[in-house]
Amino acid sequence: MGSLKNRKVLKYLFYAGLVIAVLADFLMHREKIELPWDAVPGFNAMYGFFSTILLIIVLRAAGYVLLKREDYYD
Amino acid sequence: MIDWVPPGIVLIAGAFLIPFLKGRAKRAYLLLLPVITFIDLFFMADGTGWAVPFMGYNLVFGQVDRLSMAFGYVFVIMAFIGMLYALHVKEDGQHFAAFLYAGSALGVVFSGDFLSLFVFWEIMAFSGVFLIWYSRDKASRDAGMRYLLVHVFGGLSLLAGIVIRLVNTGSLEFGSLAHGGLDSYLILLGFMVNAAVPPLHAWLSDAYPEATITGAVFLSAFTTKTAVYVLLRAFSGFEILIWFGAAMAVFGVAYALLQNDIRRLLAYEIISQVGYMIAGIGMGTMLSLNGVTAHAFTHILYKGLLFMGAGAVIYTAGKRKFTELGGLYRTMPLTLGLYMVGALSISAVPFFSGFVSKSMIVSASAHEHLAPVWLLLTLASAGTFLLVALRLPYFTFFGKDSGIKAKEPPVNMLLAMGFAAFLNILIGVYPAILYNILPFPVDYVPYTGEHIVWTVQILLFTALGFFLMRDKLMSQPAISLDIDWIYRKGSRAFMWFVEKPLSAAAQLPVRIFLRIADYLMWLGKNPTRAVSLYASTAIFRLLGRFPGMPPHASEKLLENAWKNYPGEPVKKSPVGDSVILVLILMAVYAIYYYIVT
Repeated sequence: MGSLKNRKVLKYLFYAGLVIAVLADFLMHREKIELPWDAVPGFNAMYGFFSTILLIIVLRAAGYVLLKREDYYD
Repeated sequence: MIDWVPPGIVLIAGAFLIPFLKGRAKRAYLLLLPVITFIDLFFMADGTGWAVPFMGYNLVFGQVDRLSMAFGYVFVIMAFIGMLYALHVKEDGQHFAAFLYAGSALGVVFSGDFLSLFVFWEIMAFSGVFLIWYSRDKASRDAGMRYLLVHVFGGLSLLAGIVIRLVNTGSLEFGSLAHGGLDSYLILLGFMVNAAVPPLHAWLSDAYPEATITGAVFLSAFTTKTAVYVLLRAFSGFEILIWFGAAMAVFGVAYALLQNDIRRLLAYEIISQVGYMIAGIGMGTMLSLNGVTAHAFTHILYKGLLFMGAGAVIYTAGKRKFTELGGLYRTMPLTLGLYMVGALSISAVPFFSGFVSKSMIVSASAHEHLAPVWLLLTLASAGTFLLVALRLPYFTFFGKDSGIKAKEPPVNMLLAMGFAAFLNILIGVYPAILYNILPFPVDYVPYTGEHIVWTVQILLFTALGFFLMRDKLMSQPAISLDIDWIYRKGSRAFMWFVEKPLSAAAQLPVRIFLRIADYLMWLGKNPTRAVSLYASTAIFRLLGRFPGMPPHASEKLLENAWKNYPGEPVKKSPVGDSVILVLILMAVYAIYYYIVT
């Protein structure tokens, strides 16, 4: 998957993107506040991140109950 | 009346010509038929056309307004794309089933009355099942049968609702039903089966992954979106649907995360995306209903593209599970690129189609101050991006190299994917083209600074979560339990019940009557001796011996008497049985005569 150097550059670009996306939120003009967190800069970033972590953790747990061998119905 | 024909009829009638054509002419015809249908759409005039009197009712095959036209356009476009993708398939039956299926979906969209709607609804179920059965293996036969049974249930519920409605109101007209009452609940149930609203959803994730590679592309487009259309027309503003939809969006994503089969993952993603639409229908505002129509439109295009991409992988690699795939990007870069357009569209990345449609529904929930709905729908957005744009391509095209020698699929498949990808980007970059055909006037601007920044935040931080925890997202070779467990295991319990306790109970009266018959035959051999045997046994039981005989000898005598039964054949009396019967009857009559008089 590309050379090691390329991967490093991509990684830093990605981190830079994370920072810029949050910083830009502080400068953004809001037309109207419809939900309580519309005024909180970076809320969407936090929510997206924790949603992902939550989904993965909950599903690892659910997997123990819901996952069965492939020949379960045979 | 004369200058246009209901587009569903064009596809269905046109399908009957397929077997008579050969080679290049057939392939040209397969592509031409949707094009003709598309041209036909432009001649359709607003209002009610093609009203056909039938047994005292008015069947309407051409109810045309902005809503039905929007669905009509995308259905015909998808029929074209799907047919281009399936052009290499040699079996006429598959093409026939596909046109019948797409044509009946169009039929539903332009139906103005419940009777024709119901007929097209059923054609859709019965033609769709052939797109599954043409896989020709046991898994698809079983899944197809389950698909059919669930749809027959949904269809019957719909029919029951229609009949009750007809009896109550005397009208078959298809319009708003959001008033409650048994008829509308039954119709709602029928619609919700096709929309795959949990807990009525399991047929979808069960059957679609077993369909043929090309059939799944058609299936992903029509059944659920037809259901969205009818729900939009009949139940917009029906509040409970908001919560069904929001829960459905998260449910679909959650289950998709558990899947190992790439098309089963995408099938659960359909449930999630339709959840947005159901929620939007429940809100019932102009913005949300526009959003539902727009999202159904783009969903058909990007979900078709995703199924085409997954199908291309299965077609050339021959494998369908994450645990068997990996490292395909070297040999299938075009497929990867086109798939990613679909993946970025479903994830609502700016400048791709999903961004301009999904955001309308999510914004509508904010306008209505439905904070929990906004949170659920946004959670589902993050999950969708995680699954379709990160996990699926990562473990299929990158990740551990599976060593499979795959190559790019046939050129017609690539062209179909390319066309769908082009439309997805076109709508993302130039949303006016979509907004102009929505049912209500649009004053919604998707590309505002805050909207773009917020979307980018969600996407990037979801990606961060993925890269931190991607090891936890490795698939296991396993299947997940779902509601279909109830009827898949339940049907077995039912068969056990039928075979064991129920059939034993059914045998009981038979056994009793056989015993009675045996006994009567035994008795008939020598009735007088049988009676005397009973009498002597009774005496022996009472006294312990026969009078004037020691007990031991009495027992011996009785035993021998039973053993020798029936003994000598009974001598018929010369008088004959009939004379004895006459005597008995006369005696009875004499007694009766003396008592009564």
